[in-house]
Amino acid sequence: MNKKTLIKLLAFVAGLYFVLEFLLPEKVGGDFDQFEVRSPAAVRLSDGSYDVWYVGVYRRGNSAVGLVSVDATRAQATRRPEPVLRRGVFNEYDQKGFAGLAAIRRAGGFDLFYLGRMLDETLALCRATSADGYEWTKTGPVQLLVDGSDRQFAISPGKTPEAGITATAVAEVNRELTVFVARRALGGVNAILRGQSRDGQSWSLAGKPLELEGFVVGAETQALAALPDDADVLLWVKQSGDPLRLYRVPPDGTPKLLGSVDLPAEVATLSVVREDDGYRAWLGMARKLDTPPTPESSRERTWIAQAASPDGLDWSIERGADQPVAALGRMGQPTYLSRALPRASQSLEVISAFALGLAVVNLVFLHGKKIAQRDGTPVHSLAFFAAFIAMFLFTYFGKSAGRGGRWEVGYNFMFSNLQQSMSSAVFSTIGFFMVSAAYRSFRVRSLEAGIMMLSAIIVLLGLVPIGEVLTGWAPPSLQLPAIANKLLDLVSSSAVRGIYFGILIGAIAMSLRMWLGTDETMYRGIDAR
Amino acid sequence: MEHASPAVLVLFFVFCGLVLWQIQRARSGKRVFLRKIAGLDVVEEAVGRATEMGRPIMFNPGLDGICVQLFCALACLKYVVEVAARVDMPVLVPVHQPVTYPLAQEFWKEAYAEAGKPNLFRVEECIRYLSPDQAAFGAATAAWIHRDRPGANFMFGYYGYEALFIAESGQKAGAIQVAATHAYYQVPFFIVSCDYTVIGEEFFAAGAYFSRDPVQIGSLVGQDISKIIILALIVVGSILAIVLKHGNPLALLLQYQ
Repeated sequence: MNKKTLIKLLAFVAGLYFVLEFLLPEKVGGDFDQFEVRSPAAVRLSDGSYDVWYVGVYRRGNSAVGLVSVDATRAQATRRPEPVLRRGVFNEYDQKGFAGLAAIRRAGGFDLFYLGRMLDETLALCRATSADGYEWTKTGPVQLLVDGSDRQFAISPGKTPEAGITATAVAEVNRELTVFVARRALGGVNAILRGQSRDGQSWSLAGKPLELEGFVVGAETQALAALPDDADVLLWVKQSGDPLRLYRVPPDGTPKLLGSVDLPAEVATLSVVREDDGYRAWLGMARKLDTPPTPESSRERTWIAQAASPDGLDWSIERGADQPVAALGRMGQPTYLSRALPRASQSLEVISAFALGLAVVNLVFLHGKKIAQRDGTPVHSLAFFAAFIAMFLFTYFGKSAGRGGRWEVGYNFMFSNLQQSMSSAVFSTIGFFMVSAAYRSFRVRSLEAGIMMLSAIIVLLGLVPIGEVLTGWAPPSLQLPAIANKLLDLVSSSAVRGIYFGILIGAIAMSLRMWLGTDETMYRGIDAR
Repeated sequence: MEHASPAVLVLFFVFCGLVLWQIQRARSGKRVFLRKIAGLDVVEEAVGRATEMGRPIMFNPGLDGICVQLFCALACLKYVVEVAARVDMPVLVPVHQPVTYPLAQEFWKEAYAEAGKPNLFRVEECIRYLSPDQAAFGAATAAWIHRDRPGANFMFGYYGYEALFIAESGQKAGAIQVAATHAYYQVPFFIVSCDYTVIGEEFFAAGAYFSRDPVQIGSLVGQDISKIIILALIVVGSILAIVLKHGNPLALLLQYQ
């Protein structure tokens, strides 16, 4: 076997590993909640145990709703979690999966309110019903109608991801369902709306947005939880960066603030159930990570913890503060082959370290020779040595544990003040290049250039307020912002996707040729002997 | 790492099967028509123009590390060097990634050697590793263009925001410029600042276009059939989505009238 054939064989084996890793179905080693568990919604059953529904994230950010039954005394799952609600394929309101959940136990079974994640990542409030908690029937989006009219209130998500819903909670008071929805509107205006329904089918908006003491309209509402309390509702509200606040919300009149408490920064969502001696909360926790735990997952680690409180305010996190509760939060391996991936990456790092060392030696010899022989412009070589030695010393001593001081100041000066500033300065000059390039291209010399010019003007004007002012008199669909959005959403993105298809198929074909060794480009220069 | 969904699994085998089938057909002597791509046809003319002006030629393989796109760019580099070697012209290659350097060197040297002129230029002077930092790389390449004023500037591969630095510097130096990229966000910048722009899959076709290698040409035909399949799936999928959501599409159309 000659050298070239051997290298082709090795490349084939390495390629086969990645192809198999890609082709193995995800169920082989993983599950519906293999990457993240979040947004718990708990219901206490008559035997004292809990049913907890949660959002499990599995692939490309897609998600499903899972159910785990938990024994109250041992705080452990009594059976294996399983997916009970899958995202829709054709329905537009939960095609990307699910977000915040709120569950309630009613006479005929369970109602689950969830935020359906639409294709454009906006969220729609939806409802599903079930007799046993396992088999669910989706009843579609919940529309809060104003005064019974068919005008849909802003409860449905807007066109842009900036507007939409961030959290939901539900409670049953006097056989009437009350749903609380945290709405985020454009311009950072946030509000909590209340909807009511007798049958769960037709909903009406109850009054104006809640006027809550301490509620910040500019902060995003992360979590809501509600429990009935006689004719009132106890409402827990957690806003981003704010403490958890507990309100008593009467059917009419102003809500009263009962108190507030700081929770760990990791707490993102919560679901509260009433117990004999107080309250129990299921907390959705999220922590930013320096490195993602698996290649697919986000830079956020999410898990579910439990907490108990005698009064609804003084919470002590019992389980799951550092470790996932019971069987929840398993970080499964995507496939059997994935286990080898970190080791392969580590071996690459080792090889890179050797290559780097070799490169440093080469550079030193090369520039040293230039200085010794006064070849070309030795000042460049001297600059190399000065920069190399200074950066090495400042980084080594400035970032070593137990050191710092002046060395760290020097490191910060060289890296943050010099290197990054120079990088930013170079980047900022791109504006001037853009102007000169735009000036040349916007001279209308052909039909194509004319169309490009016209599109650019429409998009530019459509994305700034003056576009709206100029065409405010026209029907909405003919106003500049609408036309600009159509150009970007339909024309431009279609063209980009078309190009993208071509690129991907081209890359697949070339990869295939290289993998199978039919394309010699990669093996150029290798001795065939 | 992402894993194939059932639909992707099927499409993966269909596309691979088509490409391999067409490679086999091309190998057996089946003639294939390749449409003209202006940006690739102009390579010889650009090199000729640089020769007449007595200026060097610059070929930039982009920011890619070791990946299929880099090999695609390097195949084009080899062709450009072959054309330049015929007229004894140097091809300057700024390098962004350390791993690209030895590969570019190998392709560059081989092309001059195949033209029978292995010692015409010093590889150390023509191929320079500049910097892995985008800003530094863009600035260094722009400076190189200002100093040596190439008559032809080829940019084949992936680019970020530094694309405009390099292309505008080439424009100011009066070079005839050809860009070929799979980075579609940079396509508008190349269109406004280069004379010819090769977009998307045409970049992957460049190797076949230059070499006329039956393996690569067959692969191109397989790619085109795959694209037709995708187009058909999009059309059928759109119709199905409309029908399943709204019922009879004709009724929907009538509703708007």
